[in-house]
Amino acid sequence: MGPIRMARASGWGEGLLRPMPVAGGAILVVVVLAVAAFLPAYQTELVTQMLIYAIFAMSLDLLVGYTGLPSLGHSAYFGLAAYATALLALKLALPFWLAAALGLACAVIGAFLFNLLALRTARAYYLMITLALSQVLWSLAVSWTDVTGGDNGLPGIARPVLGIRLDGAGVWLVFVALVFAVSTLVMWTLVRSPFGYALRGIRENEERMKALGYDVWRYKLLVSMVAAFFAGVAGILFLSLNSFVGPQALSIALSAQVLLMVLVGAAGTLFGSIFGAVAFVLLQNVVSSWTERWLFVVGAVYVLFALFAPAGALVWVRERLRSSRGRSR
Amino acid sequence: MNVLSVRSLTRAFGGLKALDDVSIEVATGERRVLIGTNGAGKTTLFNLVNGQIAPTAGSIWLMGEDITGLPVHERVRRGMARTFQITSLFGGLSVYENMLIAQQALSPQHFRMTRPASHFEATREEVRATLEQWHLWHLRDEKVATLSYGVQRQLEVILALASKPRLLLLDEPMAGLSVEETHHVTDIVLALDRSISVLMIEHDLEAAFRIADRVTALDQGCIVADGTADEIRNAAALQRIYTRGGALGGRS
Ligand SMILES: Nc1ncnc2c1ncn2[C@@H]1O[C@H](COP(=O)(O)OP(=O)(O)OP(=O)(O)O)[C@@H](O)[C@H]1O
Ligand SMILES: [Mg+2]
Repeated sequence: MGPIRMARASGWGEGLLRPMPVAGGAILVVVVLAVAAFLPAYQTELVTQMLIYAIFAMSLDLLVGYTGLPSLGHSAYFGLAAYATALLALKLALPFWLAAALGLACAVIGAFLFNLLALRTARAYYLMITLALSQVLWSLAVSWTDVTGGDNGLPGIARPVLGIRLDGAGVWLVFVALVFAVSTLVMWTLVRSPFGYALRGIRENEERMKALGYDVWRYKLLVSMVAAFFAGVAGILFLSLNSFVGPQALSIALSAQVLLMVLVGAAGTLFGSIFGAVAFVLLQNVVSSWTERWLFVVGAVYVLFALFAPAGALVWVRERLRSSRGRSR
Repeated sequence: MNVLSVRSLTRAFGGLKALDDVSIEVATGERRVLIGTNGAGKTTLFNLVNGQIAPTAGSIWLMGEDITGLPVHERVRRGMARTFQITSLFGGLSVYENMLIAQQALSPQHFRMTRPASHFEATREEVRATLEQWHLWHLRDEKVATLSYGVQRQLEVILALASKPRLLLLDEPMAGLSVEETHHVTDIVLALDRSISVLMIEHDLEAAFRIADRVTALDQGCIVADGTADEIRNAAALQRIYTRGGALGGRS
């Protein structure tokens, strides 16, 4: 065994200085600054939306991709945090940051309570029970008109103040990009931590994890709360982007969309989720500008993915690269 | 003190008593082999001892402590480890990652999420040392699902050892292995420190007698013979079971 092979010995984790994250960070900075400086508000907000959905999709990937918990109710935490923040800011006139902190707490506590129930079920039913629980919140938002505004939602939440007003589309994008960068870093550290490896173990073989001494239930509960936290972050950013939250933020449609972002990008690879989110927003907006039937096109793209790259785009590209490298040798 | 006592353990599946009033004592440092025909209740006994299923009646004691009501992971923390009859690994992960997950299970950092696993030097060292010791280091980057069956069976045992158990339960570790691989796994078991007590299910009687201090034979949920390896070799009861089951000399 040569020295080169030995140097690669710990190749599974060389810390932050791996080429991909560094390149990714550099691209993020350049793109965000360029967009914020040169593009008009509409496009700037599209990019902002991509980053928000990316946080949302990564948070779901912790569950679906890393732990093997297929949730079809992830919008619950996105919407819960957004609604709670909006209500606290509007009805109790709390300052935005305090309302947001409490909104995040709501999402995390909500995840704790939901998962006390949901984790009692076998994995196959997790999909259904998360769906059912999120539907409870959705119907509450629709029907409790006095508080939630029903279908009209809650408009009129001002964007927060952080030294300077985060009002302009460009400044707001830079702020969201910062939150995105920190969130990505935290989640990326998590999936490479001992905790993250335990999650992969649970995904692969729960029985064996127990037999090795892991308290599987506690891991699942905790990762659900972490995922809800970041879903809540995305929800609150979304609320501020639109100065509005409505029942759509708690809908099945949103849960399904974010699940597709994760699956299309490649579940279990955080960065795939970022790709999935970017692709989704692009598709939604580009396609809808040249055809009314944009949903049909989006659906067709998903079907193509399911047929030809079921493991997701990132895995597909990685395999292509590997096999072409193999041939050239 | 006995490392394991199983007292009047019964487990019914519907009307079938898979295990019927079974009592077993395993002394510290002992190598005990469980034999018996297919469906005798051997794996059921393991599932009860390790807590995967609950007994219908009876109790289980580990080093003098009643563990009958404890969940699986609590029993592991108290010094028990097991392997599975049907290979049970993390197929989509590399050999290294499998070992890492096993190694960190009982370490203080297993719940940490704010630092990469690679920063925990001591665990890394242990993983490397273990993989080198069992000659698997060169396979560390291989996905476990792509390994040969023989290597997977070895890893099955090695993962269980990572927690440095006081009691090791091995469910047919040699099943389906070639003669050479059987010798290799037998050597792994024989090389274990005597501070580890072993309770092993084995169909291959040759391998069983090589390892065992004592042998216990189960049939239809009941103990039908129990004694030193030599006593059992000649036991009439055993002859009867195995000729009836047509499995004399193991199945393979
Ligand atoms: N979960 C279960 N549900 C119903 N019956 C079961 C279950 N587990 C085991 N049994 C039954 O209990 C009996 C004992 O099974 P067990 O797996 O313990 O046998 P074994 O001695 O390990 O056999 P083998 O040598 O084939 O592994 C069998 O008749 C089996 O069908
Ligand atoms: Mg069995």
